[in-house]
Amino acid sequence: MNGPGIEPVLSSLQAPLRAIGSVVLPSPEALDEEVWLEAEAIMERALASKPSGIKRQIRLFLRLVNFLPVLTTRRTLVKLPVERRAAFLHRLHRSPLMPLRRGLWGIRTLLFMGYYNQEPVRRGIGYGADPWGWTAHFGDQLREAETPDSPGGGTEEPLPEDEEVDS
Amino acid sequence: MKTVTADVVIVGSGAGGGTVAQELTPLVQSGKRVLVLERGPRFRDEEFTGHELDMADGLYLDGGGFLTADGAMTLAVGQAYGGSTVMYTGTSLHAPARVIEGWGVQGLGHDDLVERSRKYAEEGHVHRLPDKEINDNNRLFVEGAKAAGFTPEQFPVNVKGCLGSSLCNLGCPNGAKQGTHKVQLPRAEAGGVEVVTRADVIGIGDRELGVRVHSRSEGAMGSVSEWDPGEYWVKAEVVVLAGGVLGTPPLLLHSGFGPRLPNLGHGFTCHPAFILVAEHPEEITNDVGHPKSFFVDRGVEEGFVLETCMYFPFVTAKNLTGYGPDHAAFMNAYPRLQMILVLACDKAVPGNRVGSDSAGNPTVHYTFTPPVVESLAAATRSAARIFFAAGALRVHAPLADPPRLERSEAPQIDERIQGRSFLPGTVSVSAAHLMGGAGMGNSARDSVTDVWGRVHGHPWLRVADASLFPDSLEINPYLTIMALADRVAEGVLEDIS
Repeated sequence: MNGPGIEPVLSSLQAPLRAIGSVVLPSPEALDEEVWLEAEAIMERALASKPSGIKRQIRLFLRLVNFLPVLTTRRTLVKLPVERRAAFLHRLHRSPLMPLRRGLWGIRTLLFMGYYNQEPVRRGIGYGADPWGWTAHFGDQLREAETPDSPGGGTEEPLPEDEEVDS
Repeated sequence: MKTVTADVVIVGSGAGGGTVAQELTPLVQSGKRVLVLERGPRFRDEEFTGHELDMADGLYLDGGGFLTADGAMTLAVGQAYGGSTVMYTGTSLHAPARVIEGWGVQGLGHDDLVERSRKYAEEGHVHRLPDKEINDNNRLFVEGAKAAGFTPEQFPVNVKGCLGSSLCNLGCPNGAKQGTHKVQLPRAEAGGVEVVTRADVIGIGDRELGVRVHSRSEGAMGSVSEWDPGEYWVKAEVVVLAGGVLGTPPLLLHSGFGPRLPNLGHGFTCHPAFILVAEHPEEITNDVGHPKSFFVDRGVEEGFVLETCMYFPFVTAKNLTGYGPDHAAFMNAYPRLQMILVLACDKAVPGNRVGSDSAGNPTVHYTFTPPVVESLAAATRSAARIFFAAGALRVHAPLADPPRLERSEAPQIDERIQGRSFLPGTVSVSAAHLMGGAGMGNSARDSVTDVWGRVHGHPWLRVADASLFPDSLEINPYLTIMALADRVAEGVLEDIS
């Protein structure tokens, strides 16, 4: 999962991370073990180059979020049913305390990074950007219309000299 | 530590540094040595794959995740041979006359800036794309804007042979975007200017710089540096700082210029922005074609600009407010999504500033003022009207609570979308137009540099990037940075000769 010499950030906190992911990410049935492992690998890779202070904050926040529900429910986030997890995280999302909102925003961003950077997920939502652009979209008919000077087949005209490009 | 001597050293190779490098080429032909030190790597054409994660990691500072001090806003800054001109969308506008006049800098004329901008617009092949290259995402914006009573305008863009990959923000995979990496820097190098990549300037003294050249880590993108890895002492008669707002002011502050320049770091603005998406009943062309072809400018009247845009799955997911089923429903409708970027024309205010931590890394302190929040709310309402006028079924509006608005709720836009819903840390705000921090002006009392970018009290030191802006430009800064850099180069040529 990690390259040599990369200290994992999330491996000891997989349970609270996945508990948040079960609320934040699309339907749990789409989140099989393979998807989770790939997501965690992507997140670890992104975190590898972050300063140690950021890594500490992430670990601390995940531990805190897992523990906070104990104060009111006597259960950690991991042990809460999904509906109550969602209600708890919604309160956190609208918390008057900026560090809590910011922390959840950060974990949510990491989870989206891990999930939406997976090729099957990107294809699954219908994302189809291609370096070949219009040619890939419309196929060979456009490719045939290309000229060496204008590979997109466009008829680009520079602005006339007297035409302004003011906003 | 090795010592290198040059006549002119330029720090940074983006819109400012690339321009100065090209304009100083005649110095090389007269026997002078001109160096460009660029922190980022030089990418080979085939490395622009359009892969979201790899390109963000390789091209952007902190992988595109640089946060303001309170974590409420993400700042996007390029780090490559060509700086941010590599990964922006190519929109190229002249500075508005009212803004330049409003800056009140004696000796800085709007006509002069426009004349200089024209030269770089021509070099960059700036033009408006023909109708047949406009995708549905842009076409719907134009139709919706007109139907909602706005006046959409087409962006001139600096592309040549655009294939419509839609991947501009990840670096053009077809080499179509005419940033400094494609135009000015190659010309400068052909003329004998030396460009050193992976070269991090860590301090400035009197006509000298401490430079650390990094090796390429295993598996990293980009070429190795032109110099051997290690530390260098670079001496030069003239130093031009063009490392951008997160480069120049932090470097000066870290190097001890702060006490002599009380305005250093102040005057930071950035056009805070977020995206709105709308779902249409049918698929539209959105992830093919140039993503940013039209805009609506309400800067004068309401302090905002609306621009077309189309982002990649992760960036889109991150920028939508909230999470869970509603969020996923919009993501799953990706082929039917229309997208609008709303930008607030923020003003320089006390407290919003760029700084440096003890290690020399940039820090940004930014508070969303009530006028900015109101501008974002007004922009969100306008964008929602445009979406519905274009036929959208539902809209995701960050300043509505909950953010999803159905078509049947269109008459309630004014009451549903309110500035009071703006809670930092819940709305994904980002900015890519970083400005100020080493503003030009009339004296050290009101600025950091003079009207030619010369740092007050240090005639050997100049600034040639967007940190020169005394206040927000209210449009994309690319051409204006080049125009100001052209002035700086002219001053350097006069100094040297």
